[in-house]
Order: sequence, then C-alpha cells, then structure tokens
Amino acid sequence: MEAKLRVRRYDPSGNECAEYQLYTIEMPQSATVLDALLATRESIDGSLAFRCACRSAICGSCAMRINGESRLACKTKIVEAAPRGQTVTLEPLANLPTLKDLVADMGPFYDKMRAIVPWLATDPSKRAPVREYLVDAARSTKLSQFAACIQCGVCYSACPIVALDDSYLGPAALAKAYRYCHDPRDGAKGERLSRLAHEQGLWRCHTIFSCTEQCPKGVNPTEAIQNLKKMALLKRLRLLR
Amino acid sequence: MNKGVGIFRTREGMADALATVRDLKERWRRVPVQNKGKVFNFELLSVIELGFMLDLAEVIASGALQREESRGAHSRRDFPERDDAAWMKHTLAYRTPEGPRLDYAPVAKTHWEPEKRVY
Repeated sequence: MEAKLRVRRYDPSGNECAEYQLYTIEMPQSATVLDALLATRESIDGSLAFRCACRSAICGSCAMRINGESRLACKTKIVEAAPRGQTVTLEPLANLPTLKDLVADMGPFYDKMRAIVPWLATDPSKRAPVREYLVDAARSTKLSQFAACIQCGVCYSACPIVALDDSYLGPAALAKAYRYCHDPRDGAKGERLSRLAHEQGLWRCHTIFSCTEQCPKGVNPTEAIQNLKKMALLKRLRLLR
Repeated sequence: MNKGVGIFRTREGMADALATVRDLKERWRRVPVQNKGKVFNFELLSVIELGFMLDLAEVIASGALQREESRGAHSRRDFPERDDAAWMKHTLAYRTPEGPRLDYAPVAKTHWEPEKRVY
C-alpha cells in the first residue's frame, strides 16, 4: 500500500522550507500513521521532526492533527485516515506553539495542569483512618475513567474555546480536577474549586463535546466539567459537604 | 542480538553476534549526519543512541559469552545447568578503549538462600 503524507513543515531556525511537504512511501496494509512517519524519517527525510515513544497509545507523545482531527498517530491506521488511498494531512497540535514540524510546545498545557492542584491533599480537620483510606468499587470505577488521561493534549487541541481564549484552563486540566474533587480521600476540594470556578475556568466550557469526541482514551472531560459546575454551585450555596 | 544473544544462546551464536557488534561499532564511527539543524534533530539523536546501544550490546554479549551456565533469562543450549560453584556472582563491565573489561563481584545473600527456580 502506498501511503501519501502531506506534512506541515516548520523550521524555527528560519531555513526556508515548504509549508506542506508531500511524502510517498510503501507501507503494509496494517501500518499506522506513526509507522509511516517513522519509515519516512528513516528512509526519506532525516530532518522530519515528530515526537513518539511507546507506539501503543500509552504515552501520548505522538498527538497531532490528522486530516484536521486531533488524534494519536500510533492509534490511527493509514487505511482508516485514507480509506481510498487519499493523501493524509498531518499538522502539529492546535492551540499550542509549534517548536518544529509536528512537535508542539506542551508548556502552556502543562502549566494549566499544574494550576488545578493535581494531587490528593488530606483535610487537616479530619482524623486520618487507622488503616488505609477506602474507596468503594463504584466510585473507583467512576474515577478510573477520568484517571485514564495520558495528558497527550488531544482535547486541548480539539477545544474551540481554547482556540478563542488561551487563558481558559481547557478540558484536560478540568477533567483532572474533577478526578481529584470526586475522590473521597481528597481534602482540598474547597481550595481546588475556588481556583476553578471563574470565567477562564469551568464556567468557560460551552459543552461543545469536541474533547470527549476526540479523546483517544475514552475520557469524558465534558461530563467532568458539568459535574464540577454542579459542585461549584452547591459550594456557593453552602450545600456541599 | 535477537538472533545470537536472544532467548536460547550458544557459544557460536554469541561469538558471531559479538563480532558483528564490533564490526558495527567500527562502522558507526563513520556514520554521517545529513541534518545539521539545531532544534529537534532526531537524526543526530538516533546516531548518538545507536552508539549507546552498540556499547551496551557489546557489554551484554561479552558478559553472556563468558558465563558458561544457564541462569534466569540466560539460557545456554551448550550449558543447560545452573552452576552455583563457579557462577554465583555478578558480572561487572568496565569501559576500556579495547572494549569492555569484565570483572566479578560476590552475591550478597540475605534472608533467602538463592536456589534454583523450578516450576
């Protein structure tokens, strides 16, 4: 099978390069977009830059836009992106600065993750249990869906609100915040919610669902944000325990 | 390395692999890097990493070649038995211009006496 990749090129050193470059490479039917990129870099163009590590949708480093949709290159087969052998267009993640070719600067994304207090904190007013903190099975199952986030940045790139307002915290950080706020072991719910319940925080989400649609790990950030809105409202009405 | 120093090993297979690795190390010294870019130069990174991999391959193959017994993941068809009298020791490798120099260190035994694993 002949894979045709149309790759967005950018070289920060200012060297002239084509805006989009076309590569054609012979690949097996089962190949993913990442396989084709790796083969291209090895046999056609050593200057082509993209990130990858695990090749199995665990590390999240190969997130990029494939035909305009934010996806993991390792989890997207060429036959899926181009069922009739069309050209596959590859671009770096949107809503983030580009460092080179398909490599996005993840800095702003990580800054927002950090801003939501992404860890469990104990409540000093409560006595610690004698043995372990228990989380019941139903709650644990619910949490694991949000904890499945691999921080690849796909939702951040897919979110049209982030595109309009780069001070918005974005879906990944808010889903992470919900993962901690909903955890019965957490004692920092109040502090976290007051950090989130503002114009650039959870109230900025317009429930467009792009994040949920494009998440490669089945996380549902929109649901998390809606639940956070509920929590913030109850807290404001002093109904939240 | 997959072929000669893989799951089941023999002296011939490992000696072949070691010779190939040494040959590749020599060739690696002449590898050109076409991409001269200073940002995200994955071609340069691959060449550096290849050098590291060849160094480690040489360490693994030479250590395994010396160890004339089978132990854990080191399964030799020519020495199928574990030999605690001669080989209950760690292999240490030191970098020298001529390739890795091997030395050995005793095994620290604590609560559990090391014994053969049988399933």
